[in-house]
Amino acid sequence: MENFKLADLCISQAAKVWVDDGEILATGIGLIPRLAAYLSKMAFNEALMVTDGETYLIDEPFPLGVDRTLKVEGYMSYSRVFENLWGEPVMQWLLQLRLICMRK
Amino acid sequence: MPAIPLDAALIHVNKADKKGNIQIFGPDPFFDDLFARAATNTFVSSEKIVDTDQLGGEQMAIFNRFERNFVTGVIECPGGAHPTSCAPDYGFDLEHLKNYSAQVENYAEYKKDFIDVNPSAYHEAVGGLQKILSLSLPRF
Repeated sequence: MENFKLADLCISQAAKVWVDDGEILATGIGLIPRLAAYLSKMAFNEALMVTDGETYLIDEPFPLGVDRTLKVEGYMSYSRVFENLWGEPVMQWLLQLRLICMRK
Repeated sequence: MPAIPLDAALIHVNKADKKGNIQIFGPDPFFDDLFARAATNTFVSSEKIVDTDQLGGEQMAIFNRFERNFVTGVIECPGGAHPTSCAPDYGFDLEHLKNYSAQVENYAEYKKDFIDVNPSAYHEAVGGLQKILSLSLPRF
């Protein structure tokens, strides 16, 4: 299949970022990062925590821009994004980043 | 890292009493509580001012995101977040924001029409308070 757009490529490649991360927050800010996080949860990493793009953690990604009922599993206000980010997960992430850099 | 000393914070909320007990009903209060605590003076505008016993008691107390000792003054100002949103009461006024962006080069005119006016003239200039209150919230 060669009939894809640059956006499709960005989304599918970015989705791979979270493949080995397990239970970590992926807050996609902007359309493409958000779709990438959703795709990652659905295709690679079921444990990934994703948001509705505003305030709630959702159990199941949904199509954007249409009426829907959210499957909310938790709360992720803007300030809590940072509380979570500066907690343990980001330390794990930095460690992984260092390992990746070392491999290269 | 030291906190940035703020002279004043201007915060718009959904409901308050005259003492400065505030309630924010939007799902995300962003950093309003941090601003209120960091600022020397915090001035609150509220969609509605009610008596303390009309704040909804213990069931609603969770919406009180910062305490009244951080509030310097409070006024009632329905539609006061316009042209930005005040969930769940009303959404952004995208038309107005686009107009604002287009007029950036000519800010003096925007200021004359929308800033240097009293609240009722402002409401009239943006299509009326009812229009503000009926702006729909975005779906992200």
